[in-house]
Amino acid sequence: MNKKKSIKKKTTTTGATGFGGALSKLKEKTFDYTGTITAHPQTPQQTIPPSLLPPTSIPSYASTSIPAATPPVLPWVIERKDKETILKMERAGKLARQCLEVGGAAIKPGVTTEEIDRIVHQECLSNGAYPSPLNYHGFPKSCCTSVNEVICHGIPDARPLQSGDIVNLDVTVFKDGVHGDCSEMFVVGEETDTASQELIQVTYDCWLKAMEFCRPGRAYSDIGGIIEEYVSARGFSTVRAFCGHGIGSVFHTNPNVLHYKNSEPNGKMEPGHTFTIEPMICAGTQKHVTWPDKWTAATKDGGRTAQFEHTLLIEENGVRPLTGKREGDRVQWWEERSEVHKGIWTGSFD
Amino acid sequence: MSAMADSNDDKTPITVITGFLGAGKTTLVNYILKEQNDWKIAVLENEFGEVSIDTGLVAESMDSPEDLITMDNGCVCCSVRGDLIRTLGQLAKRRKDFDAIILETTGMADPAPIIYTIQTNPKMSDHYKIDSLVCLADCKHIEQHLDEIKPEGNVNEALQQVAFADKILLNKLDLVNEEEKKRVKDRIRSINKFAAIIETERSKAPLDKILKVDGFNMESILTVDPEFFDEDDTNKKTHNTALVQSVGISFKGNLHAQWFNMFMMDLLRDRAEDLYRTKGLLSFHGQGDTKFVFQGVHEQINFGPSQKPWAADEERINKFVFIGKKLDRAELTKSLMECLYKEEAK
Repeated sequence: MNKKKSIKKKTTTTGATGFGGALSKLKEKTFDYTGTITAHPQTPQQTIPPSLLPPTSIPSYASTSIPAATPPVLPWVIERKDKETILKMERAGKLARQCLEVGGAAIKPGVTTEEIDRIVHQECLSNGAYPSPLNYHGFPKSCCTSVNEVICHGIPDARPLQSGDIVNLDVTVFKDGVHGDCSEMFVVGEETDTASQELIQVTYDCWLKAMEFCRPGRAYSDIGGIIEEYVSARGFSTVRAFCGHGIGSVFHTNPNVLHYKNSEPNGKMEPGHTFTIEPMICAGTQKHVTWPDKWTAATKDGGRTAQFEHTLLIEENGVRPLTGKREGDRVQWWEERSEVHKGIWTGSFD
Repeated sequence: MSAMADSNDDKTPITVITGFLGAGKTTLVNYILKEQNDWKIAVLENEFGEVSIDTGLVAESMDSPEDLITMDNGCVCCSVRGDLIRTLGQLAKRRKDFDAIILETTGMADPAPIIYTIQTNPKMSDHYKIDSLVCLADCKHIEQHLDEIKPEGNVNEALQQVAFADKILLNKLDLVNEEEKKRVKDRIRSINKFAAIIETERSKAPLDKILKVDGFNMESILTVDPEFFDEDDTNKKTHNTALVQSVGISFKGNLHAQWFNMFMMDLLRDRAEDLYRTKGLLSFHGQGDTKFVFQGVHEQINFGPSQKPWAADEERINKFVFIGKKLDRAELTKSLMECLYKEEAK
């Protein structure tokens, strides 16, 4: 959600009843789903009682659904975080990673995405943080689970994960006034088909390449070209409608990090900048359709799609992930097989 | 969680046509649907009533047979019946059939809500973009409309329609003489200095001048007459707050990005209602030779780099156009000039 665009004005639906509810259910049933994933029932949206968290860990939109801050008018005006804020972001980032790992560990055939959401939600709260997606512009759950052809913003529901599914789990936490945002792919069951394996590998590698590019003085707009060149050469496409973003006390702010080749005046990297790179790469078309739930974005041709995300910090001599994997975290096969960097990526420095 | 990106690839342009009843919109619509053959256009009307559809035409159904009618030349006429979003949503499936969409609004004064919806509702902004706001003005009668005294608080629609427009079609020229025409044009200019005035007779508008012109694009400020930015005395004597004025400001130098950013955010937050349209051409310190342009409707501003950068020998002159109410040229100029870059003592 950048600047004034696409502000999803949502009304809370607590157990839709009456004509309006029946109509939306009908819309869901008759929607032309593009792949095998379809909407399943969801449990009602939770509200976190303010007494459960310190006030500094409750974002402005928790009760109103609309974030208070207005983004800067000029696209290249980017906040440089001070030392104190960076420390807070490190803590939020580490916690986001922790919640992601705990949620990911529970991913198995037969488990519903809603169950994963409950686990992430709980882990978040027990560590004194708010799950940022909850009620953000009305989003009904505490994390996003995007399966197979779902590009992003999948809403956790009663659908049981199936062996061979690939799922992106996207976790953001708000603690002490700042957000930490990361996402990771998970394969459900023992393994998935070769095409999906290749998709995941290419997505992971283009993401690493893009992150390794980051250094003070470089243009945010150059990130997209790196990603697009890498994936198109291998027969994949990169999603244009969604982008990475600046992050800090505000969930989404400058810079806009486009994942395709562009020359937008989106600013230059400087020490103290914190932002995400989160390419969504597709086996078929990158064009999307939005489900009747107004959030879930799925590929138009039903082809599978994968994504990875880190919250990054630009430092004097390079870049480091605030949401990086910790020693002892599960190392996935795509990290081991990567042609860009083998093993856990901990940053890139001169 | 990903943010939504902005991209204008491949969207069907929508031209919003405003204007008073009787200004000639129906004639224009009929001309588009039946007489011309160069453009395939979908015209969205509130009611069919005034459009003359011959009985020999094939009626196609969208929801019900009366909703959409296809013409011989491939154009369609679509009845909106109040639900614009639904109509545009259904049309989206076959939008590739059309070069452009015309949204004909009867008597609507402030197009801002439509602009807002089309630009922010994802279902709309994925497929459509606003191309320009065109006002059809009846040369013979518009002065009457503009002079009409409205009860306290009520908007003079003709005034607003003129003020918001990117282009003004001055129609019914066959009914006025040269002197009257000049007087009307001057009057229109005193309200909206930057809209292009296109003269037409019997609503036969040159379609290539009003369709797919990317008039909503920020670039349009580049073609504004430089004279417009000169200090103009005629506006000073009337400080009637109901008056809609055009104010043009220009000055040399490079702007300080942060200060300008803050100024604009404050201005838009406090004065959005009175600011109908804004356009700007800017040079920023630290942005090399990139020329920046922006345009806005109320507080919705579209910002971006211009196609052509500042030439090496080109003087950096910042230009601003404000159309709206309660505009204090001196105050705006002073505040804007305070945003010029100065080396700060650290």
